[in-house]
Amino acid sequence: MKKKSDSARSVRYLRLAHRYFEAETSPREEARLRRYVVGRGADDERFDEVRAVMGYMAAARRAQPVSPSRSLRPARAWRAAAAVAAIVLTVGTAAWIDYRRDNVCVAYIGGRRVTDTDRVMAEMHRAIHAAQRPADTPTMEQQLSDIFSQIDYSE
Amino acid sequence: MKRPFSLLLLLTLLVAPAAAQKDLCVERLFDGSLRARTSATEVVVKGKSLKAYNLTLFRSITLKSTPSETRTIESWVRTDGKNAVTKVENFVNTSQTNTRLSYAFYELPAERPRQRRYISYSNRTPQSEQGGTLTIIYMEGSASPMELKRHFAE
Repeated sequence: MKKKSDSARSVRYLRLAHRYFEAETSPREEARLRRYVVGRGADDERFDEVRAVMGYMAAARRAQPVSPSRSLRPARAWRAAAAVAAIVLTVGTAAWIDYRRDNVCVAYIGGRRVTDTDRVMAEMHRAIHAAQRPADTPTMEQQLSDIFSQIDYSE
Repeated sequence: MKRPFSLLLLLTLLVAPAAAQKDLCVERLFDGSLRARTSATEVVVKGKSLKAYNLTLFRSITLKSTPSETRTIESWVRTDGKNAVTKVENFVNTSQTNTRLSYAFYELPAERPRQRRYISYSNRTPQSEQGGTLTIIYMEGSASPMELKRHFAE
């Protein structure tokens, strides 16, 4: 009885091995075949070839390193995007700071800060008026005119 | 490592202020130390608000000063005006031996082409022994003295 079931089993796995070499097996079937050829069918010489191929494939998978480009590609893209964002932020911030520094309109009146443009410009004009030469101060032209008007040209 | 450092250096250069009046004595009046004073008014205007006057920078301080402050500020103004390209000064006698600067206008040597610099000073009460009411103005721009007179003279 045992021999008959073993024989039927081995025939089933032989058919599975044939399909394995035709690349028609699923990963589950391959795993089942692999378990058989190293387990119950380890002494069956008819599966030597299957064992040899499966052994070679396993060794090749262990020896091959992980492809760096495939696993790090997403990380590289993120780094590039972050670098571009940092540059844009830096240049934008610098341009904004430059604009703010180059356009100022502020007055400090009696200790209070005033930013209303009309009020600040009014203070500017007030300062200019205050700094002008006093009206009763003679100009150079007036002084020269006074000097030469005194000279008698009749000589 | 080099790239972030270069970016940082570029940012620093872009934001570093460049003030042409840094070499002047009157700069000390515009360092913000007088802003809290109730008897002082400081005005700072830069950029687009001054375009109509062909100026790029306008700074002024008007304050009621003590006698010692008046003497100090007057000496700063006269020091800065020493090498002026154009100079107008008016003095009044405060005593037989003392004079006080009542008005001054200086055009300073230009540091860059089309970047003229001016200092204007006025002491409305030069003969007062209690100090003075001083107005000090610093301006930069391409405007000539004639243009300034046309824009601001009464």
